Order: sequence, then structure tokens, then C-alpha cells
Amino acid sequence: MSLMKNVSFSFVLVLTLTACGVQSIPQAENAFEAASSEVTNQYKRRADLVPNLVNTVKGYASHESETLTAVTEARAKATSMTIDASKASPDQIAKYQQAQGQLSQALGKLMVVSERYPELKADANFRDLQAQLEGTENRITVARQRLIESIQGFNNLITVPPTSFTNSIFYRKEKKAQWDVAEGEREKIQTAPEVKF
Amino acid sequence: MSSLLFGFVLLSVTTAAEFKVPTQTGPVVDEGEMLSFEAQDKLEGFLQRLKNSGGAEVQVVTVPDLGGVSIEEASIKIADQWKLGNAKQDNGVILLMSKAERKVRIEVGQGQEGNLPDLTASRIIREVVIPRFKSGDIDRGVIDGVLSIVHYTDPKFLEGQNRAPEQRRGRPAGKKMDWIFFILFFLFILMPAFGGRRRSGLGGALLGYGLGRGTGGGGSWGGGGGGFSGGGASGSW
Repeated sequence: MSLMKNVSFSFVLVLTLTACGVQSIPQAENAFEAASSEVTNQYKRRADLVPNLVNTVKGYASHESETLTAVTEARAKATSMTIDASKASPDQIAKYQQAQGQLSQALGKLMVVSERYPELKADANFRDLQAQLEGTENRITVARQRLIESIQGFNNLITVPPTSFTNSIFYRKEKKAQWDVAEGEREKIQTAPEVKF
Repeated sequence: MSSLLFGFVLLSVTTAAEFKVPTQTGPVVDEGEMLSFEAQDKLEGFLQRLKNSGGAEVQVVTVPDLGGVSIEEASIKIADQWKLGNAKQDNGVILLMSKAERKVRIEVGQGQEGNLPDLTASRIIREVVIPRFKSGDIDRGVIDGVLSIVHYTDPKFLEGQNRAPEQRRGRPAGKKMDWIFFILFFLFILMPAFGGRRRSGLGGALLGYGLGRGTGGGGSWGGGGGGFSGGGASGSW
């Protein structure tokens, strides 16, 4: 009996001491789950800002109703779509990102339009909302970059030896779909003005 | 502004440009050589004491240029590499300036986002830092900016001074009397006497004053494991 114990103990010891992935694969998966919920959190945070922003802009630029409606609609679409990012299929992720990308575009347009209204730009409330929106957009960028890195880390663990052996013996986890750049954003990259410093 | 909004999403994906994170040497890293030695000394002493008293870890960084990336990207790189603030509280804050692009950013650690939300950071940049930078007084812009940040992150630390940054904002620019140095003077005398954990007694206070010009008596800086998630605000002057 004690021999059994010893054997199993040393087995576990060997597994944890060598970099075989027994620990690191589930850890990487947890990191991925945390990173993906951070992304959806930040998207939600942005969606929460939109109604206030739209109302403030309305006060000064009421005849920009087309742009405002586009934002409201894009927000409605984006918030109607919730995904559990850790279990979503590539297809779902693409749709989700597309909806968020459309909201990004609509908001971008709204900000361009708002440049034409000096009174709006001087409004303290608008400036605060603008600051919050910029902060949130930046958080989204950071969260997405970290998510992409965490997916890469996880996929590396389960596909690259020696940890891939551990995966095929113990876990049999599948590769995670990478969060590619969304459709709307890809268009923007192609048409984006050159940034010069 | 709008190009910024577009840029936020895109730059991380598209940039091949490189931003080199400076070497971490202490509370003030003046790679861009924008600050006077006097201001550097005072800031270092103040910020080290703030950290030693259990407050936020506020980092001042200047760089000569951003190497083609956005200031948001540069500051999150610095944040990820230097890991300011401790892992439990995530209480790091970075005040980053780039000389060539004339851009400034406050990057707020996760644990300070409640005290220093984006709109507050944005106000500090718009109302405190940029006006002073525009008038050419970088030193004062940075010092007032730091004091404003600390006013929100650690109001108790500044309580002894009993002067909120808002009260000073309204004062006409170019006035000879420099309140900040006045306040810092008090800080250097009072803080070692009150909160100095490292030293005690009159000798300690005097030593503290003397060292206030240096690194503030040493202590660890950076690498505490504090997390950042991209909160804060940016501006240009």
C-alpha cells in the first residue's frame, strides 16, 4: 500500500516538476476565460455610456438624427448579442465582433460629426463623456490584445510538444478560436488614413 | 479626436513600429530630458515618500519620442513592463509625456480607477497639465499634475497641506509666487517627522529634509506586480 502511495506520489511530483503542462494547460485556460470576460465587460461598459452620450449630443445637434439613430441602433444590436466568450464558436465570435465593430464605426462617425459643433465640444458633460468613451475604447483595445495573447498561449500549450502530449493524454482540449479582427474593422484598416507623427 | 477613436482599435493590430520602454530607475524617469534637476529631485522625494507611506505608486516618465506608436500603446507597454503598484491593490499611476509628439497621458492602475476615473484624469490633463505646458512651464505642469493625481488617489497624504489642487487652478499663470515649491517645502519638513517609518526623531526629520532632495531615502520602486487595464486619459499640448 505504502509502495503504491510512494509510486503515485512520485508520479505526481514528476508531473509537476517537469514542464509537462499538467498545471499550465488548465491555468492557461483560466487565464483565457478571464481575458475573454474582460473583453465582454469592456464592451458592455461602452454600451452603457452610449445613451448618455446620444442624449447630450442631441441637445446640441438635433438635426444629426441620422447619425444618432445609427448609433442607437448599433448599440441595440450590440447589446442584444451576448456571448459566453469562453465557449463561443468562431462563428458566434465573428458575429459578436461584427456587431461591436458596427457600434465602433457609428460612434466614430458621431465623434466626427460632433467636431462641427463648438458649443457641444465646450459642454462639460460632453467632454466628460468623451473622456470616458476614449478611456473605454482604449480598455477594449488592451483587453482584446490580452485576449489574443492568452489564446495564443493556450493554443501553444496544447499544440506544441511536450505539453501537447499531456493534453492528448489527460485533457484532450481543443484549440480556441482566435479573435480575429472583425469585418467592419478590417474595412477601416484598409481605408484608414495614414497616421503620421 | 476622431482619428484617435479609430486609432485605438487599429494601432495595436497594424503597427509594426517599435516603442522602446526606458530603463526603470526610480519614481522619475526623465528620458526625454524635459524636467529640471530641481523638479526631478523634489518629485522623487515626494513620490517615494508617498509610496512608503502606503500610498499609490505614481510614476513620472518622459520620453524623447514614441517611436511611431500611440501614447496609449506606449504607456500600457511601460505599465506592463514596470508593474507599478502592488499586486493586491493595483495602485500604480503613470504620468507619461512625449517630447516630440507633445503628448501626455495619465495611465491609471486597476485599483485606482475608482479614485481616479477617466474623466478625472482627463480633467487633470486638460485643466492642470496642458495649460502649464502650453505656457512653457513643464516643471510646474508635471508637479501640479502629480499633486492633482495624489489629491484624488491619496487625499489623506496631502491633508496636512490642506490645499486642494482646484483651489490653485484658478490662479493667474505667470505669477511669481510659486505655491508648489512652498507646499513641497512643507512636505519635506513635515512628512519625515510624521510618517517617516524609516527614521525617527529630530535627526531623522533633518536627515529626511536633506535627503528630500535625493531619492527620498531610498526604498523599493516598481516591479510590485500592479495591474493596468488601459484606463486613464490622454491629451496633447
